[in-house]
Amino acid sequence: MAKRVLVIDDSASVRQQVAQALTPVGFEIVEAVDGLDGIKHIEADSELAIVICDVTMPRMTGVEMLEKLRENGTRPGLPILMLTAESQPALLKRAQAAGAKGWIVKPFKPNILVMTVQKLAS
Amino acid sequence: MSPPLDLSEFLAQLTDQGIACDAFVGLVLSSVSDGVAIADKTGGAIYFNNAGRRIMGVGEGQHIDVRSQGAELSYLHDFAPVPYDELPLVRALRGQETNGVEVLVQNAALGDGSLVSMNALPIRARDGQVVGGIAIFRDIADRKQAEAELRNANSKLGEWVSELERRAQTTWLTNEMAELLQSSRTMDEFHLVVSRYAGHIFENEAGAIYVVNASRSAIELVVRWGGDWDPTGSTVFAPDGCWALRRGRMHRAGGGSLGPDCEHVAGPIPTEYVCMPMMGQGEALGILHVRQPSTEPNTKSELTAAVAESNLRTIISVAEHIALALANLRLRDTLRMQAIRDPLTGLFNRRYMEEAFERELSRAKRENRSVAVIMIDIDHFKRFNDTFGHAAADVVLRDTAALIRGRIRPEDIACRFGGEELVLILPEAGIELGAKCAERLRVGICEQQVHYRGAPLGGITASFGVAAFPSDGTTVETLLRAADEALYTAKHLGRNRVVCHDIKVEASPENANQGPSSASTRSPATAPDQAVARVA
Repeated sequence: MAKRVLVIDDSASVRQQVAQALTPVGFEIVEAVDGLDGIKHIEADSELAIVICDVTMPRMTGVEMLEKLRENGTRPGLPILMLTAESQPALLKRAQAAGAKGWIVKPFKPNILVMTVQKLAS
Repeated sequence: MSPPLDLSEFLAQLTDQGIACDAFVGLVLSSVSDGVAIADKTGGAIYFNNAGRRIMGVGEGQHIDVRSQGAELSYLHDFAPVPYDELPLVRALRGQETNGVEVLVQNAALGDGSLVSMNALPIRARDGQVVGGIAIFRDIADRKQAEAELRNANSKLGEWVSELERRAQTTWLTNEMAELLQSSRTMDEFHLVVSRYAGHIFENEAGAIYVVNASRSAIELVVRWGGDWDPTGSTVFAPDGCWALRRGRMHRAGGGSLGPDCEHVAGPIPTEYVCMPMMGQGEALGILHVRQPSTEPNTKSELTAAVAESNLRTIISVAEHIALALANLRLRDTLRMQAIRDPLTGLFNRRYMEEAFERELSRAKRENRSVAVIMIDIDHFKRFNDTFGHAAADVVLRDTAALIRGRIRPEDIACRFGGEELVLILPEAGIELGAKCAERLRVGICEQQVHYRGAPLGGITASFGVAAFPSDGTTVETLLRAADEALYTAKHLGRNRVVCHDIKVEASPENANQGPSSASTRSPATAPDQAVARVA
């Protein structure tokens, strides 16, 4: 069975780029547009293997979402990979502290994304 | 073009001039913004340039070897520590290149650490032996910032380019419309051009063009485009229904502006609008009404301000072009009127009558129809002139002409033939209809009260000569002569009467002079309604 990836990004073109990288290697993609939307998906979908999450999004940022999930104890084992244009070390440390498993800077190399997702989702 | 500088030759020159190669290399390395780290083949010591020390958090003079690196490196993508074998400089010393690996560098000096992108390659001797390694690295935050600035500048540039393209297109369309308007001969053509172009010139805005009607009593819609217009809404309004027309200058209202809404704008509208009066020779000829597209209040950028400014210029320019075209059309109409009308009576002039008569005759010949012509002369006109003066005589002429104009069919052509002589052409009328019409006018003139300076000028009458195509002639000349002869007879018989020409008269014109003896007449005073004579 294909592993399911939740892609949370307010940019449709980024969600599409991620899908283009991951679908050929056997992942199934579901999408959310911001942190709040992402939490809903994560709470509702127990089959998720991994989450790929943007940082800067309207309503709720990716880091805020991470902290919320941790606070609520939602899916503690679910690996979350940040995919973002942000490169501030402080933000990265905060995400790491909240349980992020990786940080890929946009624009991303598809092979790095595939490799990381495969590793984190296994 | 000179060839590129040969680096080895240049370095040799430097050495000849006493500048050591190492000093030169040190100068270069210390001034670049990328971090550079160089290791000898043992990896026992690493050289860092200034940027390299900053990015890696290495203190000046601090001894770093490949093994310790002075910092912890972990891969960004999964936060896993970079194993010794995968360190870029270690790989370089093994002869392997590293390309764009992104790592988090952490040590005490760096605080939260740095996000760094690294490249590394081996340094080889002539025989291919690896003699050292060099790593070049860059803070991602620096790169990202530069990229973001570039992207921002790019998108701004893109917006400006498309705005410039839009402006060029607008200018082109405006010029084309202006040229077409200048060549328009009628209001119908004017309407056609304006309604086709206006919507394209203001493609992002809703708008409308209104024109003051000929009698200047109302403003009428020519075209409107864009927006949600109430289809049942009024398309005509009084001239004072628009603030711009009242003030004779641009009026801004709607949206957040303070200006009061014009009456012709039904209901409050959410966006700002501009009414621009179209002026020609100091007179308002119409208005150009343009509504700004709705914009989010927080998106007011430098560009939207520039767009608003350029739109305003377009509005002014389009209004000027349309006003000029309207003024030209008005002038053309006036000149045409002056060329074909007699200014005192408002009747057509003789030249126009002759042309129109010619046209009517050709048509009558083609369609086998008749045309009647009536020649009218006001009786004893010279007496009015002598007794009351030219001004009074002018009043008589003017009032009589007005009466005639009011009592003929729209297709009839009334003209001032010269002096106090008037001519009426009645298309598709025979001699009987012509006589009837003449008689009606004769009675009307008898009954009319002409006042001059408040006092009535009594006793105005006129004599009428009637002829018809084809019985009394087949050319303009012969028909006018026939009518004139009949008029002469009417005068001869005592004036204030209608005399019809007879076909026989044309055959022997001299008979006309014998007319009175053979014409049946009655005194107009006793039976004016039957004062119709026939020249036999």
